[in-house]
Amino acid sequence: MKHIRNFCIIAHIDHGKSTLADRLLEYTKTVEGKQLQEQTLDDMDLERERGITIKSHAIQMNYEKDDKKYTLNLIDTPGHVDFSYEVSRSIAACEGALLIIDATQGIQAQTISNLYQAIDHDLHIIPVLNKMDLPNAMPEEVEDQIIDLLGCDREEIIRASGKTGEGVFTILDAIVDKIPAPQGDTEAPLQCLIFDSVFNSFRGIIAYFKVVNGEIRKGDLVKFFATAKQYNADEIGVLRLNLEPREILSTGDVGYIISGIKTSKEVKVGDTITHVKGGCNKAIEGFEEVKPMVFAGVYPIDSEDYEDLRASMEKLQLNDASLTFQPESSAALGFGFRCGFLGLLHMEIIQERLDREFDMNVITTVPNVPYKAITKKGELIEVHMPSMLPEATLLEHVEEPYIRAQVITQSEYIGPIMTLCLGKRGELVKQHFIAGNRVEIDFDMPLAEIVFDFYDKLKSISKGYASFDYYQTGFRESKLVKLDILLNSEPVDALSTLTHVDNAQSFGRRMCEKLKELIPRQQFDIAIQAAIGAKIISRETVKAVRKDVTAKCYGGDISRKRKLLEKQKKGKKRMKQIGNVEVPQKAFLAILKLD
Amino acid sequence: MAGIYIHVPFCKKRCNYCDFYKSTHLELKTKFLNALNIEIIKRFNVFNNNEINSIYFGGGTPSVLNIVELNKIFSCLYNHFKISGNVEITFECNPDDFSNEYAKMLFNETPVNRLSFGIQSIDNNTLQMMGRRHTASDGILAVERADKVGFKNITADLIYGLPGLGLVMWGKTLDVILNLPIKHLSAYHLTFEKGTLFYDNLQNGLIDEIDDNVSLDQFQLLVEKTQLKNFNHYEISNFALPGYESFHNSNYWTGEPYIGLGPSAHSFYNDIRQWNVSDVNVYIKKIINGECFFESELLSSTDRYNELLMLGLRTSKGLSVNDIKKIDYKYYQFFINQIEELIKSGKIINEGDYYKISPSFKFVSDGIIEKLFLV
Repeated sequence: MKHIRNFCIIAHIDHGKSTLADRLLEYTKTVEGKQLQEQTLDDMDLERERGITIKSHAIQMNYEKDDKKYTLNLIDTPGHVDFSYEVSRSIAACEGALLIIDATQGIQAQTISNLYQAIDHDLHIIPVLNKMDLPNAMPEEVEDQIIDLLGCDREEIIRASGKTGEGVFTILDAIVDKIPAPQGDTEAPLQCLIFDSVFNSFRGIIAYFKVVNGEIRKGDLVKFFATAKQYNADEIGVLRLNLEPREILSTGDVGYIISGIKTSKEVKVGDTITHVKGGCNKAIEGFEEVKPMVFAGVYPIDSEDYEDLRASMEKLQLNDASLTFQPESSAALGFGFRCGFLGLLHMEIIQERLDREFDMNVITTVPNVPYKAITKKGELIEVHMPSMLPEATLLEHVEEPYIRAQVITQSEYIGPIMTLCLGKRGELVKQHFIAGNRVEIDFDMPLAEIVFDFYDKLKSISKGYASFDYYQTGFRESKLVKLDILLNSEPVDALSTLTHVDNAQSFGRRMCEKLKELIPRQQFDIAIQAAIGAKIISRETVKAVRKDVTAKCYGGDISRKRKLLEKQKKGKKRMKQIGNVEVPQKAFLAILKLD
Repeated sequence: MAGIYIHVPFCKKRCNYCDFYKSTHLELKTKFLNALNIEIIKRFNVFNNNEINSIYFGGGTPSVLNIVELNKIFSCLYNHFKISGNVEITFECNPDDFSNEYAKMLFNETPVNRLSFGIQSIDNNTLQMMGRRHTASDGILAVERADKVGFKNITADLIYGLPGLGLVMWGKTLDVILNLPIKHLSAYHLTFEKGTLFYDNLQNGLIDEIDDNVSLDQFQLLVEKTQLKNFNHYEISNFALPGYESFHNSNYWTGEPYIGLGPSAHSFYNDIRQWNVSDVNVYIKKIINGECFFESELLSSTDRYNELLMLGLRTSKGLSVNDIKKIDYKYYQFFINQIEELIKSGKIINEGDYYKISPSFKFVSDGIIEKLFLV
């Protein structure tokens, strides 16, 4: 145990976490140069393309210092606010953290909130200035920020470069010297903290855990606290580049267990593994059931694909327990599923994986956050979709989820950011300068307001110089109305939204305008209306096509025209027929891109 | 029956709207004619004994050829193809090449029996904007001259939907043209084709596309005025007095085989669409070196079904379901399933085995055709 070091990496997207991690693997000879695919840890295509880590990962390295052999376990964490709970469990499994800051960019909001979590868990923080090879690195200035933030000495900050390898051995030495060995009692009843799980189509669910107390042996009869299910530890082992089976894992070790579990639902991040006989009485603290914070309908474009979609979602859920879904039907879109996601990124990822991995063409409806409706009879209804909101006459009040939002930016962008956040029903909580001209602004805001077009706007008004993070702060009473969209007088349930009464008018108008842009002209006029109850609050018309004809159709025109019409027809196949109106997929997400 | 198309790829000047292949290097004419001869000799046997009912000289500007050059082509054609006794031989002329002398020689010394004049407009400002090198009166005179020397089958081309062309001017244009001794009229709505000055000007905001409603008004006026003169609206852009429907044009729409000779010319036979290289220099070089000078594609049965629809539904006669069944019965079943709704909404008219687009929906026919497509 004395020679184990468990650590994670805290970094903002693009600050070079994965590249530096690859360098650690290379310098500890965990991975040979030729095996080193760029960013070894991000093994989903999607992760490599987007440059972010979606799943947690773990890998074990060996390192020798002063003639002593050390085992270093790197637990890589997801890099997006949607996955903050997973991050917290990974952090809980470590004794130290590398805080990686891009020397050209400085500290960002994401970094700070994860850092606070790490400090809360008493992790030893090793600050690292990355990308020192870049000519626009500004080490002194960023060091000032770090000193300001951590209260550390300037000497403690390691200057490094994932690209050139500068500072990598210094980092490895610091991990050994400064991060404490795990503590815990080998003799105590078994307690293992699950920080992630992956699905393997041959072996079922593989759970990753850290042994907090006690020892686990191959073949042990174990149980999972939260689910109360029992399993045989068919195989346990450590996570090298491949899984390496072991007979025993002891306090402080990080490893995996394979026990014939078929679905990810049975393995919950944060759960505790213990022995059935002589096990612990108490679970490790901090376990939470992950609750989806964004809901949206997911429908197959072709209604015949409904069963295929179900099968695909079930497969996705095998390795992504945070995805929830249940059947729903829409007058406009037919049969589909109401899905719960951790956040907007998670929703996008699921949509993309459905497309890439399962070749499923889907329409995602306007997302909404979960609301609490309290009826006059005192019942509490969780509203996951607009149609679930009880009639106004039956309703006592509605509550919506709020968040505490942290924005870190440069002082010149304070004005526009204030305007944006206050316009989104935000309330300023605090504003303070970090170092230099960097400022942190905190707001309390309805979660619903950041679901729609918040990130893009924040990015554009700050020219990219604002980072954003949030955590949930509970529910507050709110005045909500259901806004309906009608196409040629037919309500399109998939376009209904719940919105704050103050926003309804302008929201309805902008929805109609956007839909007018997105719905192509057809052979008849199309009326687009926004309504609250029976009251029409906005209207636009898509004028009928009057001319749609090829002038000449001789020799060369024939193939060309046929191919053009075929292409158009294929495009329309991807549209949804609502009444007699053909509506393109992107219209259903119009709301996300309102100006 | 089968047709021959000959592309004469030379123009003295480029028009601002035209995207047909042409070269202004008239010095290449002799080399081109030699290459054309070789192409005829190489390809004549594709039709076996199929009789030729139409020969069409298009361009470019066929009237850049003199009578001797033209007759050389004819002798080669007559030597190699089996040409019908009542063959339609159309020759496209630019009004300003059409001198009295040329007209007489064309009528008396060649087998040409049908003339096509690209009149386009009777408004000089419009003609200038289009980059035409003739005036309004050149066009009118040319038709009268052709009639006078003996041509009794004359067709004119007009363009509408032009920026700046008002309904009044368009009406006047139609009145003047329909009073000329023509038997056939092709009237095309302007399309902005890539590679033309018009297209560039549109992209750069120098001209605007006209409103759909104005286009439709002009089309309706065209339909009315031709009807009053007893012209049969036999295809979306084509009108003919009874008995003067063009063999050449109709061959395209009824799936008859045709061979296209010369650079950029398209051919269709044995379910193959083929197109020659569209550069006169490359064409000449490849023909002389014995290299391949064309590309081709074999149509699948679905391609053929889609083409049958697209071409048949543009004609006033319409499309026969028997022709669909001939491709494959499954296409017929698909067609019948789709057609009901279109008949109900008045877009398609069914008469016996034939289906056609109802007159009031002709101007939105692409969308209707597309609905019946199989992809």
